[in-house]
Amino acid sequence: MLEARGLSIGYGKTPIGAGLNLAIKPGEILCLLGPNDCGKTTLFCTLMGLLPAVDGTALLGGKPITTQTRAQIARAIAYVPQAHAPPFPFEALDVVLMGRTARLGAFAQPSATDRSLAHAAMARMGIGALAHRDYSRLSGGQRQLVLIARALAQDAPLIVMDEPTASLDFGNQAQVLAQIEMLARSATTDGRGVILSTHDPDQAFALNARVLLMHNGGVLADGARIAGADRCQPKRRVWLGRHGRNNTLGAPRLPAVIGRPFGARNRADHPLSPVAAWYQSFRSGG
Amino acid sequence: MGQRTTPNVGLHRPGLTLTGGLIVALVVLAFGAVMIGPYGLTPGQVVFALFGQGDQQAQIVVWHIRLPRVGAALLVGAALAASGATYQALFRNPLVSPDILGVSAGAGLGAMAGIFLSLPVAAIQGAAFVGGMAAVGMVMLVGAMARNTDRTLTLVLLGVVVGALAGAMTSLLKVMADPYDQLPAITFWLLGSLAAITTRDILPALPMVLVGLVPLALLRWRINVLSLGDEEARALGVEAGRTRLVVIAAATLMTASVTALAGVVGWVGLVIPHIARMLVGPGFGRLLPTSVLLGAGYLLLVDTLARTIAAAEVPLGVLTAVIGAPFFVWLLARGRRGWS
Repeated sequence: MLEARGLSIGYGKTPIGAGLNLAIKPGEILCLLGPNDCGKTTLFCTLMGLLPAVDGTALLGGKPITTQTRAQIARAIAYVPQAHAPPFPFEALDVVLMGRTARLGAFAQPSATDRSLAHAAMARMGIGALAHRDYSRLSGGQRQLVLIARALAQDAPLIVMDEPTASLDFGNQAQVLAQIEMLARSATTDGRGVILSTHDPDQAFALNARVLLMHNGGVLADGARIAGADRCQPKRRVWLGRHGRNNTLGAPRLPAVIGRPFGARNRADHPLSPVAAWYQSFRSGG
Repeated sequence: MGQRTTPNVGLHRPGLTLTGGLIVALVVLAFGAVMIGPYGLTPGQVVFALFGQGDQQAQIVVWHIRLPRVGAALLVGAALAASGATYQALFRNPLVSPDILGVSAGAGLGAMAGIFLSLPVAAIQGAAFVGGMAAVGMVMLVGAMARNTDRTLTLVLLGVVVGALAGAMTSLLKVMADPYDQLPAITFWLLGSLAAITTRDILPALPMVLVGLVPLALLRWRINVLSLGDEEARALGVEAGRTRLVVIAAATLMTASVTALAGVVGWVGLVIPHIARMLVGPGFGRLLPTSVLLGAGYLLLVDTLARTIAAAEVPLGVLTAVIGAPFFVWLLARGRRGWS
């Protein structure tokens, strides 16, 4: 569906990451895992053609993304940016309706059908009651849910989410993660592809996602999906595991690739992908 | 289904009532403005004169003095408010106004040059129009060349730069101008006035304003999407750069043509869209007509005041500032629904 071949990303001519290869298929959840400033958002923007690639190509449906119009791309990829504050007090429903733009003619207004689709998308995210509330006055978490509802209304086979849970409380995080998984795996939604970024490895487990470890703009490891992971890992232990050096509760240390700057470790050192290796040591040690 | 349609009706009905009410108020206001003046007319006289009957003198006053002026006030107010609402949505900033891209300063410089060269009135208007469009063209051109990721900020800053440059040239022309003949004309024009308006002046401006209004009305939904910012608009399927260019060109065409007509009239394009947004919310589909009606009514009111409150004409720009500034302060202090 979406593919990157030898992609170099960055602003202007200086790449912040090079040689990126990835592909996502329908029904798949791809989780970009990495610290802040590792180029996740830049990669997203390049994949969606919002930012020109420094080198290499991004392919959407087999065709280079640069040859496609914005409307064509928007009908195939829905983008959920990090929650933001708009300058004007739009109703939440209006914001969701904007997801329909790619399916409207240039001079057209959203129709009654578009409105009911927007209402349905909001209901599905459990925020139907917010429809006529001022979007700019919603909490960060509510805004995030509105933006996800907008991506649903956009009705694209692929959804790209930039840190979708960053501004959410624990309950909303769980809700959003459950929705993401449903989007990809439920039979009724024809299995959309989802790419999301996070700096919380725990979410990759929770989503049973394929994990892409990023560091300094490069893909450090493309981990196979962690098959059959039991998703109820105690949060606390995983959290402590992320700061392995301070670990006092006996959880296993992280492999160096996660616990430290990733440095020069290559995949040869780890027959398993780092996350999988970490996960195995976690299970055997715990 | 029934549940879905009900809120829709509830959402649209107050909008229509408001629009209808504004149109009625505008007609009443315009009728009143035609009556009021040094040569006072009764409602009956006005109605007769409109149908080309009755008192010869009243007919002349209505058709050659009052109506052109009322028409010009409506046109200028509507155009400034519409372009103000557009610029605010497009630049995602409730504090920008039609002057933001250097339109007024460029138009001012053009008109100054016309007056300085003692050109005829029509040529002065033409020069003002060319000056306004040239200033914006320069801003857009340099903006397109600038390698900056924040295009909006670049454009606004360039607008300030070009505006300052045009202002400097204007000052130079003022110093060089004939102090007895040209300087008063320049000063008066810079303060804005409809005092010398005739039907012949309005006719070229009217189609320009309508030509500018059409793309704004057609692209109203896309303008909403653009107010989320270019990157998000593009992710939602809008060719942001191209659409933005069309919309800015349209709004600038409106501003430049009415600035050529009436001189520099500030504040209307800044304050009116705020009031409109308080009334109908930020959705551009309703914001645009409401701004047009409010702007037209507001400038008609102010222009009628300008020609009646004192023996001599009060410059329009002075009155809009005197009324607009405190009102804007009040809006800021209240700041409930205008922006977040």
